[in-house]
Amino acid sequence: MTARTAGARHGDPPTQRAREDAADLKRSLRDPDQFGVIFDRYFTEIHGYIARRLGDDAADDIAAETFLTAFSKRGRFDAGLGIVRGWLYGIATRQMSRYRRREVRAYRLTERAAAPAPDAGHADLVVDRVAAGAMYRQIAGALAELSRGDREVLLLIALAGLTHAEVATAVGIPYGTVGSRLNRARRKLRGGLAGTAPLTQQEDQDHG
Amino acid sequence: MDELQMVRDLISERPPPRPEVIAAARARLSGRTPPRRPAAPRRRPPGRHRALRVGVPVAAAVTAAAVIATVVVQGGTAPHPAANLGVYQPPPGTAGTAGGSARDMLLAVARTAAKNAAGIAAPPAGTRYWVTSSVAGNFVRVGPFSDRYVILEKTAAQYWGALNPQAMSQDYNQRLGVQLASTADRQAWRRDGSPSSWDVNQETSASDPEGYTGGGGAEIRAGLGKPYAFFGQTGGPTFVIGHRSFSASGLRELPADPAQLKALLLTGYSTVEGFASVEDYLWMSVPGVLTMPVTPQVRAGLYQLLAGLPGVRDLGSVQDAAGQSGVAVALDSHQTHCGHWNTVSSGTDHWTFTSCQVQDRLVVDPGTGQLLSEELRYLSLPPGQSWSPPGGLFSYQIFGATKWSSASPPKN
Repeated sequence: MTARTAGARHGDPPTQRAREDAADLKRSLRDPDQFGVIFDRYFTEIHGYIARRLGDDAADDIAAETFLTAFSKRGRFDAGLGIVRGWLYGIATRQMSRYRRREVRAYRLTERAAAPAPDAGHADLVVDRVAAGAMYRQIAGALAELSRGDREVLLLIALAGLTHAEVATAVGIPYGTVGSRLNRARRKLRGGLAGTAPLTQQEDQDHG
Repeated sequence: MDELQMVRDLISERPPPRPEVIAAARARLSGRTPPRRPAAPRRRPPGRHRALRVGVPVAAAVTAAAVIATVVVQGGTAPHPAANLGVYQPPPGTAGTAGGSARDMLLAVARTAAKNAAGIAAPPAGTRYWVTSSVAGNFVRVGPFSDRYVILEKTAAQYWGALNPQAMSQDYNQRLGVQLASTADRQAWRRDGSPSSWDVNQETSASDPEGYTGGGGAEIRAGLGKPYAFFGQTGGPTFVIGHRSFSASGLRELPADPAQLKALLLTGYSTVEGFASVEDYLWMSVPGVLTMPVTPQVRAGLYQLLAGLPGVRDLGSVQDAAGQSGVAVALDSHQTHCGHWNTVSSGTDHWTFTSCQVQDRLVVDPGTGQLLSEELRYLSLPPGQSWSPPGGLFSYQIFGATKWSSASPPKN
């Protein structure tokens, strides 16, 4: 694992970077070419997040769409209500929602895999640690079972290393709800590991 | 057992995107490939710098050279006050003559353009780069809120698009200096202490009527800057029309039919915001394509497309901001929220004017069909509001000659 995804930003005050991002984004309203600063800062990172979930080819398209959408909607970003990085991940998340069934199907395939890489087409997506054993298959199965809202929060934190505040911006939920969704998702993953199947717990009211 | 770590292991990292993927995604963001502006002003190194050679016709080149000379001799080094800054003088013929039929004029230009392949014929053997150059001028309101004034910031840009996908395509930018919009603006500038740099996203003391605090923001600096490269990219030049990207060879396959060109320009239009109308969007999009290496027939088709838009006006013979003579056509639009700026610390948006009538003027050389420049003017403002630059001008871009080149781009 590289440092980029290890959640290194957890607990960091978002202020300085977030302020710079917001300033750069605002500047791009006056001078659209300044949006290139935001693009250069985040394209590779967001492409990487999409590629992990949906594969490299899908990431090429979705990442480009994400930044095109962000560019055209940059006038609507409100720095008082959100963080640019989270806002970009939120756009990517909405773009990825079209591929949700494909993603879940891939988790299922991984869960059932008796051997690594049962399907070359999905080798792209959920890969090299399958052989490590049943635990990973159970994690894959639990990921497939998570509600969409819980899974988004979990993956934004686990894979992209977003702060809770950034996730709140990305998913459009209150700050406190991020923690409750994350805890619920982790509980379900742990439950899957323990061999129990508490996958039908009551949904919190924020789910939607 | 850390289940988050297991998720990270299971859904493992992917290699970074290929450079051409990044380049294509980036190109889709801008309606035209060149020019781009620098991400941030760089500190001005000591000494004088060679000016970017902008391939504009003689009259404009003289003007640009005069600007450079003025600033090199007179410009101060930030943050010291500038001893002097010139006042913008519009060429005498900017008002234009009484016009006839815009449609007839554009169709005549289209016939001329169809016969002129200068600079855009298929690249000869040994060609390495597609080269465009331009000078942009933007009028910006600066200074204390109690005593605002308007400055003209000029920037040169050059683009070298490498035909070899392994070679680097480069944008170059250069600050050309600052002038004051009028003699009244010059007096206000002197009262402001004759500064040679300005924070554009102005945030001054809390005692100001608009109540801003803090600092920081985009900076404009007087003086001639060093030409520098911006956004080197491999993968060949990418030309964006609508939301589609074309290679140099792909551009030559474009249809010349105005209706098909219109449909192409409008791909992705539904996701675009901030334009008064489809016509406004098309009018803004065409200049970028006119400066691409399309065929003469496509250029003609683009002028025919403009000729078919409702509301286009013929302004007759004019001189543009660089003093080049041509014929002008214009499309007016009503806009709300004109002249955007913002306060950085609070992220608050502000607009210089709550509404405005804008004239978007294209100046064309009737002898060649080449686009010379694009000028944006405030035609009218809300009651009690004023804009000091002559003729309401607030932004212009002078397009230099385009060319294929077997030379090497400037070293940075």
